[in-house]
Amino acid sequence: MLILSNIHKSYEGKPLLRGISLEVGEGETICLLGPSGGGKTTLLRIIAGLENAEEGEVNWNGKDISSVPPHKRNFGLIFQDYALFPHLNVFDNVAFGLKMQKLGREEIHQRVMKSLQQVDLIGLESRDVIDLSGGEQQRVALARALAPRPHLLLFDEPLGALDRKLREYLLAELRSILQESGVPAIYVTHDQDEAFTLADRVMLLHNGEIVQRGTPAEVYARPHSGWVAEFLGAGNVVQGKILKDGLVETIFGTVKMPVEERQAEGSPVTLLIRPRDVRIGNLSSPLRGTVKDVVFQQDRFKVVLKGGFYFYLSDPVNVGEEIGLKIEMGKIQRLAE
Amino acid sequence: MSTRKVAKSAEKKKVFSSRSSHLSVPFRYRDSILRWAPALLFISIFFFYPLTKILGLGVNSSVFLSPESLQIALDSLGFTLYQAVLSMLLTLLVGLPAAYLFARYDFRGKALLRALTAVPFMLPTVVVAAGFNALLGPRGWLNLSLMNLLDLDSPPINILYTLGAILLAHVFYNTTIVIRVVGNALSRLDPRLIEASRLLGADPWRAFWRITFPLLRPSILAAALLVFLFDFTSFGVILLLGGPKFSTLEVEIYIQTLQMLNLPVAALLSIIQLLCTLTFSILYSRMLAQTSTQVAQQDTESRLRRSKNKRERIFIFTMITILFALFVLPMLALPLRSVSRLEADRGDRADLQTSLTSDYYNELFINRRGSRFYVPPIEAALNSLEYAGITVALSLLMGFPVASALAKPNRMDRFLDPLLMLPLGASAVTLGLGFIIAFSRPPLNLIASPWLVPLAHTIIALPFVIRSLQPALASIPQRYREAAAMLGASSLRTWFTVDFPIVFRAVLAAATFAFTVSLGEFGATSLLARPDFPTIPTAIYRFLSQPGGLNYGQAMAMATILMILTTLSIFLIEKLRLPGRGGW
Repeated sequence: MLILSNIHKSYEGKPLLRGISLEVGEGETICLLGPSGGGKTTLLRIIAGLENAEEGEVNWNGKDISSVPPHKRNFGLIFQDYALFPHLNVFDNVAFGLKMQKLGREEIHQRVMKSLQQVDLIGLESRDVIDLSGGEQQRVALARALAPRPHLLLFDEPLGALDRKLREYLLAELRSILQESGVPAIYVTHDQDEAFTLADRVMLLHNGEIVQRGTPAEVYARPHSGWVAEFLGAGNVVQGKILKDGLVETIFGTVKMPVEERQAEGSPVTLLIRPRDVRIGNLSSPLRGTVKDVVFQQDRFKVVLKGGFYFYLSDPVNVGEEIGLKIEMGKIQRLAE
Repeated sequence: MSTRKVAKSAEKKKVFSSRSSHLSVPFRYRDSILRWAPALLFISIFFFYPLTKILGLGVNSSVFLSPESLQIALDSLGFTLYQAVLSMLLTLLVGLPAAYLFARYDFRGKALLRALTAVPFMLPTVVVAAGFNALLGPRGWLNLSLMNLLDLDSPPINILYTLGAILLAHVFYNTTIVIRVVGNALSRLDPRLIEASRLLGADPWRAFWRITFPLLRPSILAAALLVFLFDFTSFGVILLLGGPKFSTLEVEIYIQTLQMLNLPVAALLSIIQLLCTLTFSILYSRMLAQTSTQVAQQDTESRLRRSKNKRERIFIFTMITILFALFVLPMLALPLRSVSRLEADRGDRADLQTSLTSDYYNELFINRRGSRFYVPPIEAALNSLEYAGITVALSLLMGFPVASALAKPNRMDRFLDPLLMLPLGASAVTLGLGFIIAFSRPPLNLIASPWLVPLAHTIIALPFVIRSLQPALASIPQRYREAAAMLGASSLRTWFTVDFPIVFRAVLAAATFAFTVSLGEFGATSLLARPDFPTIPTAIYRFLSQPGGLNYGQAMAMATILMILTTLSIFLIEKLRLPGRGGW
């Protein structure tokens, strides 16, 4: 079991990771989700042993491994652009880790073939890796990481360079390989679809801190902050000001909040209004806006109001039209700042 | 539209795209023929004709395969190979760590040091020889200082005229090749490959032998072979720093031609020389092809880092010191020595009198009695400038049409291209020998003419001129013209605003290149220049081989002038180069 506690790291004087703590249990897949440049890759490299944390501890099965060099950790890392060895063919790439373990020829052969079978690459053993397609290279990288039977798999945006269709296909494959092998994994990505597909638990990394953690469903259902809601695209994040009697004033009009949320008049609040809870109402509604844009999306229309508020309708409305909105009151969520 | 009509309109399009495609073959290539004719005619008369004369003389002569000539050939071939291998190994010994230094670390003054290591490659051999002489020679800084310090009677360091001096100068010349070729490969090498191997269980040592080394091997081999090729054909360095007792093939050709007057043996040596360089060149281009197939990815600057621990700092410091001593000191010693009076006057060697002097420069304008020259030494500079001017004019006149043909080459252009590059493979001394054999009697009796020198220089400069013009001319993309036209420029205006600035820069760079080549050329010139028409390099050579402090000082002064001219040219060429293009 991997336990990180209070990891700190800075880059060129600026703090990159500010006290990261997390645990990865047996057979668990963790996704670190966050925008690019947020320190996700650095955290992965610290776990791999390629970089050192300035503070904090990396603990594996009860032992501090901060000073164990990468080649003695037996963790597998899949790089964003695969880092396949260009002078070796597919077989030798996959066999590299086994040769480092000084296994016998026969065993190496068996285990390479088994790994290639796992990723569905049988028949390509003697191909040069530079002649492979992006998807095939990605699988070789996976097979190479799996072959030495690592204690922990680390993924650094491994599907980032592929097109969408291939990504979805490989994602499904990866999910089943991870479930079958039972190897714990940490998967770094900025793509919430990837994270939600693979993760047992998701951790959102923002400004060097984990701002929220939980199962994909939990995180999506109850984002802790406006930033998380916006990053996940959970809905409209609307700023408002508390009036009296649980009323909140926004640029789209006044909405009613649950009464127990008593706060001083005039204090600011952040609300999450999901598009699925928005209906069109009549013009006398306290909530209204002017239609700025209507976008056709296969089975529905996305309506965007001035100010950026959006929701979906099955029939189009006219641009420039003023419309009233109806929102189910219980569904509006208050978010932390 | 009927099929016939379609076919016809397709035909029309074809005609439109290459206007002459329906013309007969000789007519189709008329443009090309016109562009190639002057250069081909020139190279036929002044390169291939002398070469066939060398072959003819060799084959027809009875001495050609006599035991004595074969012995000379075998001896000099043996020594040539020996010193070339040794030089190459030493160059790798300095160059590989230097390549690592430049590819992986960031330190203050890096850009400057890198530029300085590249300067020697273009410096004339006489300048390099004079530089090492000024540093390590019996009258050089080091010896004079040590003699004064330790109160010695004779110079303690006697490296001049030894194999050591030759090797040192070769390392000085060619280290930059290793730094460029291997350094480029090293900085293109994705460090994640090493990291990947580390995570798969390889310790740093095995990661190096299994990943780094195999990936660099083609570049190391290519660099080594190129260095070997340069060392193999080295002439000036051996003659000036080793002396005639170290006779490589090149030096032996020179000696047999000028001192023994044994042209058949010189011809034999030239043929061996040509065959060897041809073989090595073919091997080299094979290897070069390999290096380009095995490159890894990506831009590099982000991976440079500063030293992390003490071991790295010691490595960086040691390397900078070595590179500074090797590349900067000789080039610093030379100009300083040319303005310093270091010898004690009139046998009074109690104190080293160090004083600044401009005597050596003043002497250049005086025609002394008893000097080997019939003219003041400054005449040599004027001769050199005149020859360089002629070389620039001739090589541009013939090179520009060829380069413009090669900018958009058709089949014939591609076929003819390697022909003009062939002189690169022949050594300058061989060229000089060919001129002597071919043009010493009718129909072309030019041997007394001072024109021979710039003609030889033009043969040597022409490939460089073409190769530096061609990419610039090819780089003028149609898009620029279209963009200019869309922005409302007329075609004349477009030519002046788009084509002309690029062409002008390229021509200026090519001219500077030809000028530099001619100014410093020593191999062919040493065989062809008449005593009363010396060039700067031949004058320096003669001054260096004379005794006396004044001669020495004048050699230093002229070498300094040549060094400054060449260095300025190199920086000018570098400045004129279009961003993102060129390199070699």
